[in-house]
Amino acid sequence: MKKLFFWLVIVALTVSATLVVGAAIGETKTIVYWSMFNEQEPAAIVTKKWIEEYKKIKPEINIDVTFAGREVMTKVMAARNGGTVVDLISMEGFVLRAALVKAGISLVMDEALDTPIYEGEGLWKDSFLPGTPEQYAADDGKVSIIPFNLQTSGFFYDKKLWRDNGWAVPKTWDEFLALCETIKTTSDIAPITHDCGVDFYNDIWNYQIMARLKGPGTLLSAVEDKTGESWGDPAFKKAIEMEQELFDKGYIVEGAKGFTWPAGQQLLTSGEAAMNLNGSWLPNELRNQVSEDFEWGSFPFPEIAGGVGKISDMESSLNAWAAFNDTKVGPEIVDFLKFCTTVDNQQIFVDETWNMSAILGTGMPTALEGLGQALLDSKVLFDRHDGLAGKYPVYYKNIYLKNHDLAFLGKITPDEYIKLMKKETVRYWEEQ
Amino acid sequence: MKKRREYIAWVFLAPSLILYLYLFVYPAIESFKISFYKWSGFAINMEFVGFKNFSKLISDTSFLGVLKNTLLLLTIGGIGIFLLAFVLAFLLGSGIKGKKVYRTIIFFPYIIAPVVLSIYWGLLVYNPRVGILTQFFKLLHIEVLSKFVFTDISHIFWSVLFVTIWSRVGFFLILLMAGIERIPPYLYEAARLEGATELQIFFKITLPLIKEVLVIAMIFWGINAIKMFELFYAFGGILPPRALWTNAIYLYIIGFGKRDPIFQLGYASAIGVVTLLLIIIFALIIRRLVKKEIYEY
Repeated sequence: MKKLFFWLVIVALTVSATLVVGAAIGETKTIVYWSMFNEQEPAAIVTKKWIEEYKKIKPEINIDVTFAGREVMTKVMAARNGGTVVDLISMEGFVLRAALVKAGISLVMDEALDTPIYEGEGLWKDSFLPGTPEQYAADDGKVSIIPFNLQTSGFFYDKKLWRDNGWAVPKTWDEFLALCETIKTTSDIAPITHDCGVDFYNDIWNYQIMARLKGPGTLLSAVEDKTGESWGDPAFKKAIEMEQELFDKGYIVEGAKGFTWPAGQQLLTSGEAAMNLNGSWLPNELRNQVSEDFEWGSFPFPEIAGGVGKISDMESSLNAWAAFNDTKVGPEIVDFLKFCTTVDNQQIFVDETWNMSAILGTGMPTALEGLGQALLDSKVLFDRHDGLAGKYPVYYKNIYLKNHDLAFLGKITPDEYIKLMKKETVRYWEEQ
Repeated sequence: MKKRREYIAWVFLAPSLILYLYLFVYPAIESFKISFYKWSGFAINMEFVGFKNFSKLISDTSFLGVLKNTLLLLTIGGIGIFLLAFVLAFLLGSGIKGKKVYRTIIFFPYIIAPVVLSIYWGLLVYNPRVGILTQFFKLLHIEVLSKFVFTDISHIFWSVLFVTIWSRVGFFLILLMAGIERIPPYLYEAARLEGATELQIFFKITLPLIKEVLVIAMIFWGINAIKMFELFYAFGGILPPRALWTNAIYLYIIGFGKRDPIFQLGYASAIGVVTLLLIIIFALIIRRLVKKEIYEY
């Protein structure tokens, strides 16, 4: 009995001593961070570098990172419902807004954005490209989403191939069609390659054409018109006709309608196709598949004669971070994100991932020079899918993408497309 | 003594029973409950909407489309698999040399991961430019087929259905052969002595005597077909084309978004409940068929 009492005293003393020492040296706090990247991706490697460096400076803050991939939201949803703590996630901004901000469960960052940057002078909010933190703000204007990666879409090509063939970057749709005709008739290279199996790649054509014909926001306005009548605007029909023309004239590579990703984009790397309309992530995605003498080039979607949109109107979307408002490590998250968004750390991101940063003062990756500079110089910006995917995701998926795919791939006529869009828009709003 | 044995049986059953209740019954009840709510899966509050999620299914053209795909998969896929399995079982049972080797070769695709199958068939076989099929038909100068786009949205479902049949037939062949090999050979000998044709033997002896095995195999296929996910999901690479959506894929897209922020977990649960009901109905129909007559030998 005496022995048991003796050991109990020893254990109690050890526990107390540990607690006292722990308190004295400061408690370690852990940020549970689930990332949208896969562990082998350059962006994940950069993330690990940031965490490693941050740990050296702030050993009392532990970053427990999980590289969950692009379906991070699914995994976070399951994890949190199962009681697992997740404090911080990265994902496409419009997805974060729809999932966290709209549900009122995101950590509001307005106050933090008004505090100084990690090192040096100035406020944190002023270190971002103007408008980017606000792009996915809540309806009341509160900002929860902290951007780090600026994205856009446009045409990608091999500068060397184009130089060797004497092809010039087109600025107008007519020049674009003329170039396609030249490529088709003077070489054995297909003018355009495209992964038609991916509906959200197919719709890049549509929202870009619509932005050039009628200006950004037209697509979104048509969706929001509960009568469906806005779809009667001749521009919507014309956009489909322009898309179908690319197939009819043989400008889009033969067989593209049956490509399952990534069969289409691989033709760009093999030099069998001259260009590919895609997102700014493409050079990074294909960097290990192109030959050594492949010189990445990119240009924005051409201007269309008679349209109100300019070639300088650019798509802008963001990969970003958001934290949950039930986190116990809010100040630590802010500090960590400030560290990640320093110019030096963002430059590492740019250099390693060949992507653009949302932080002012960072350079432009060589592969994105044409497109990226156009984005930075742009005065009119519009969201990916014209903002439709984030605002009306069910409509976007089940009405717009469904019908657009049918029209884009020539399964229905432009008139049938317009009729379907009118009818299903009315039905959609009746069911809301 | 009997009570003690029962007690011991319960003790041994308990671990698996607890796991079954926790991992299957509890989530099933929970998702049944969620199907009556509007819930994103992220928000703390769930809004009770009664049967609205179920009534919405009736007018959801996307759901009706995936239901059609699921039923086509169940019926056409089932017919294809069992027809082929029977033909192969017949051929392998006809005294052919190297039966075990053939059986292994036919079974082999079943053990290949669906993702690997989708890459192999999608990028290497069906590829409209450099696919094995296209090249093969080009060699034979069959222009109609060499230009046929197997993965066009009008054909992709049937192309993947073919892969499904090809990859699953081995499993069902093994099941059917196990049943066929149990049939006493004297029944066949007697039938042949009486002058029965091979077709008569098949319909009058083989089929009735493997009914139990066949029913189990059919229920197994039904469950698999109705909740089919992996192969069809993986086939599109980063995104399965709509033409390939099954009940399970639609449930996943509606509930979890698949990169689009849809997050309608309540509605997705309703799809899950309907899928479960479909499986139960299918199993009941097949079970009723077996009840009618059982042959013993």
